[in-house]
Amino acid sequence: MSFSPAQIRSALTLKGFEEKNGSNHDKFFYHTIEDGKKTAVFTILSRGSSYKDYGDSLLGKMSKMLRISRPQLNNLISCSMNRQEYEQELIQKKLIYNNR
Amino acid sequence: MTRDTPTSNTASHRFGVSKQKHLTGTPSMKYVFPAILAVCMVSPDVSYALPDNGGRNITSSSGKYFLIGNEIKINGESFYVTMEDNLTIISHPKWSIMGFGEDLRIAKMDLKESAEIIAPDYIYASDSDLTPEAIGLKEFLIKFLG
Repeated sequence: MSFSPAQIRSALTLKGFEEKNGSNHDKFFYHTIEDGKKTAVFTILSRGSSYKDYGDSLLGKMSKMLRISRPQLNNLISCSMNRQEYEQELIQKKLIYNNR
Repeated sequence: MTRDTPTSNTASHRFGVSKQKHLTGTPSMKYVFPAILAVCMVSPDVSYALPDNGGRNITSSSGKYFLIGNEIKINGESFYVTMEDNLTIISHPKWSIMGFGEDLRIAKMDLKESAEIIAPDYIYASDSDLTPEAIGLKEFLIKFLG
């Protein structure tokens, strides 16, 4: 399964990621639902002609950065995993709100 | 608890998950792995001491990188070192910052490159806009990229 950068970008921004564009990279930082604070969860998309589609290798790296499994990443991008479900994953893994 | 001392400094003792794979099938060795404090050369510009299991302090010439078992300490922060499909991965328990590469040296360079890409987004952010984990990442980035 592969996704275009546009699909990934659209899905991530819908799921609470703030997009920041750099010179060669687009960065996506996850913000919490409750208070909108920037978390330490992010991913980086490289730009360029060699990144027309993100295949298994790049999606595998991305899923590790986003701290979810590959099938969950597919769900996140294809929109069957919503923001609340994703944040719940991060909370369960103690990646956010760890001090509660 | 009795801890065995590694008997050699072969590559399988020194580097991450490949070492785990070797040790898993050797009953007499499988309890050795967590106790290994093998710190070794992972970069041409950094030298590493090889301590015993007595918990002696570990030093390097740069004071920046230490490899301890399947962990690497970078500026005092613990990162995991794992291998997957011949890819060495440096990851953090709480942060998304990662390094990927054919070996540890390349993974470390990738980690630094990622740090440089995201640094402005954390370093210039106010602590009040960051979660506690993100503040930790910010502090690490300041020290790491110094």
